[in-house]
Amino acid sequence: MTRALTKRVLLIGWDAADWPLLRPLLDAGKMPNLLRLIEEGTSGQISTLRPILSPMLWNSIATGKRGDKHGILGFVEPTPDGKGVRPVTSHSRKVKALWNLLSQHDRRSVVVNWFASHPAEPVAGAIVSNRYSEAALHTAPVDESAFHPRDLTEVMEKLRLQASTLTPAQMLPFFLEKLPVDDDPRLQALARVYAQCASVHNAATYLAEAEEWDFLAVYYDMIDHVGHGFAQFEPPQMRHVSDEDFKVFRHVMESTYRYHDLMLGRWMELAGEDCIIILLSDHGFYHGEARPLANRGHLSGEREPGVTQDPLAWHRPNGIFVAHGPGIKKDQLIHGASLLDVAPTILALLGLPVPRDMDGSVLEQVTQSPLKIDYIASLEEPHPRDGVHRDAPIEEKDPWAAQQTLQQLAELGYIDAPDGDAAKLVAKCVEERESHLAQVYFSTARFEEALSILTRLTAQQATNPSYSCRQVMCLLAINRVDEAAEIIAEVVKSAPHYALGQLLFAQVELMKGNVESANAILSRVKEAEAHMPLVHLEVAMTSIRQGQWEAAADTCRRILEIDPDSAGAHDSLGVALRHLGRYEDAVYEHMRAASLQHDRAQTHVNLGLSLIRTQQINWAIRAFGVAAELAPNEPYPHRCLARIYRRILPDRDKARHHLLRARELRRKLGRTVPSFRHGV
Amino acid sequence: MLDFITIVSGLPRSGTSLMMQMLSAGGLPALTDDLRQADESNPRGYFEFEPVKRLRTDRGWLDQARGRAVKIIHVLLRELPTNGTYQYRVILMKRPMEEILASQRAMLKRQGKPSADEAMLAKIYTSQFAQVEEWLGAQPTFLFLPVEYHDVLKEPREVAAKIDAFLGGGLDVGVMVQAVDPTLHHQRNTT
Repeated sequence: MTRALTKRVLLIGWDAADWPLLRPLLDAGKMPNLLRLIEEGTSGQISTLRPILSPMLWNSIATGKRGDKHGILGFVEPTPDGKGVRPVTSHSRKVKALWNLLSQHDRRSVVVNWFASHPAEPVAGAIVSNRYSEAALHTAPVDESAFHPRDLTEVMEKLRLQASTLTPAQMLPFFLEKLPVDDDPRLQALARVYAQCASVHNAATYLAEAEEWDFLAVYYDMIDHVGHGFAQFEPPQMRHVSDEDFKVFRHVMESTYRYHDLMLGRWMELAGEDCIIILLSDHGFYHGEARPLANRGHLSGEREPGVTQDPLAWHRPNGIFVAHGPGIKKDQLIHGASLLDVAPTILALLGLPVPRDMDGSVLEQVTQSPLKIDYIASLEEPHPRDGVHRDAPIEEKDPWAAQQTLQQLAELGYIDAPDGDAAKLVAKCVEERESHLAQVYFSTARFEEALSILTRLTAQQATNPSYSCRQVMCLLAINRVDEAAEIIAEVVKSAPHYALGQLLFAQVELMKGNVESANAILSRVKEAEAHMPLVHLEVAMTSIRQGQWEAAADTCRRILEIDPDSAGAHDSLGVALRHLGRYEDAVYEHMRAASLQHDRAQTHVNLGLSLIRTQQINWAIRAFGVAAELAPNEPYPHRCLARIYRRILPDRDKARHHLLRARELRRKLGRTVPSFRHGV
Repeated sequence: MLDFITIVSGLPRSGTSLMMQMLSAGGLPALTDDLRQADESNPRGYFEFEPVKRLRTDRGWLDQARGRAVKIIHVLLRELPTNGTYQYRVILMKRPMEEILASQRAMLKRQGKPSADEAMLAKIYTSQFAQVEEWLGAQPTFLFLPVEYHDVLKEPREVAAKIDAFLGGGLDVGVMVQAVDPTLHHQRNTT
């Protein structure tokens, strides 16, 4: 039986909170509550998942599973009648969230504003769905299905702060020096985001006091929204920002963080001493010199002024993680945490069984004494008290299937295929869902599955070079170089200014042995995209593939000057250092890379190879084991383990086991060269 | 002239065209524009009226449907106005799901198109149909009569008589029976 470390867990989500922005604020004493949480707890980076899309990520946090399992693959889904799209709903989540699991174990939860929590599920405790925060933007009554129990409706109506009631003077704390003019749309946009955030905070803190709870989860998205609107105005002043705008808006980002610190202070009072607080973000956000410029990734001669309009380009792959409370290590750093680890960790802290079908692991390193964990195969079987919506019509539970059915009726000629803007929105959301699923497959080394989706998308969207490029990445990963070469040649012909296409073209040239051609392409791209870390990373990889270790190391260091938290740069630097004989340094760099992006199997392979050099064989075995778990279709980690057991720690049985496994996987993949052998 | 609209509804390939033929033969004029020509899937024609497909956005044609029979697919029934302007009598065709899916698959195949996942379609169709039945039962402006496709084939006289009674009488039941041609039953339960 699992022993509980605490009776209560408070999970606070700050979408897009980022260490590089927080560190100077902490040093300057501007975030005193967070500082206390860090000093008295365990903190560090938490690596995100791909694609870096908040609805998917917050549902991975709540379920311990990736998007292919939990089913939330975007912001919107088709309405079951095919007339348009709607925000993703709790019906679409295909697996249980923490509050369902707690409910079936007779524990009470309070959940406020979680992504895809509408309509509120009837769990033990209280839920205010993410539809509630939208009520801050209008005066109409909130749909009572946003609440469980339904009788919360009346009190929640009173707790919502309406953006229209805010005066400019009330917004002054975000600007500090000077307010924008009253009708500045940016002031109004900030007021809307603030009203939504304050409404969520009001609802959550009210329920924290009014309800009995074992688990409370509250999600704030203000930092992310403010980042997308105002990060371009923070110091240092960007070239496209006028002096006046810089003066007015420069403090908005910082003030937003400080406002969150105030809210955190309130939570620390409410939680009490017997509660473990976990504060985390789903991803980081690029600030300072790393802010993405307009036309990023396009090699056209003239660059538009300003920053990119693509919101995903702002998302840094590492978020923040802090745990604090009884039994949690004090003033410690955590390494290798992933968003997937949050749910199993919370279950273990509360003394509940941890399902093995969750994709993450319990973060045992955060506790002062070892946890006794009771594992169970799965908790997904329906339970009478899990609160999962089961009586809803199938079209509500699976609007994607409803959409396909309507499409079939249109194909048969019985209804008109929808047209106009609504139809475009539905088509777009179906396409994005597929694309996101392909990214999940790619990030877990399921290249064949990703390839099958991308091939379909490429056929439908022939003009979108991004799908073709991702097809090429899959083909290269499974060593189908000739097919990759054919596709990438078409891409560079039809979209010559697309940087990723050029980078992949260079990679293909290199794999075909055309080193000079590859170098020429890379230097052209490097010249045009000097601030794009991806370009430098590709240059570094090219140097590695050519055995130019010093050059590779120099390039990696340049990347780390632009983005100190680039997992790829740390990992590649480690590879270069290993070949330069600096094994301890190599281990450090790989460890750093693994702590920044734990779910990248290649990094663990590289770490294992460096650990062998430092004679830390047991740690190397562990690293290869992690790689084998993260990329279950890859033979190379097993080959490494077989070699260790054959040559270093003689164990014939284990050596044979891993050798057979490697052969079996290699046979399944049907290729001669494992993708991991390149070492980058 | 009848003051209600007669609707033949059901899942696609559940025998709605056959029912339209029976009604037409029996003397109830069909609202159809013959735009969709007879083909291998429906050798005697579809008895469809193109504007029905746009029911979600265009209801201007409904006046023409008074006193006539019109074919409306199950998912569009709920788009009909329920404010009392029109009264409806619905003949709701039922057929085993596996036959419906096989027939849809065959029809799409003839057009060179693949069918969607059939297990998924079966779930959604079953749910949609159950909701339609429930909805029809709750609407004061609708009366509906469920009719089994296989009953039409096996006992056409009994079924025709029931339909005649449901629609208030006056149809030529004998001619309705002659309109049933069992050789058109392509997809049997054995597929």
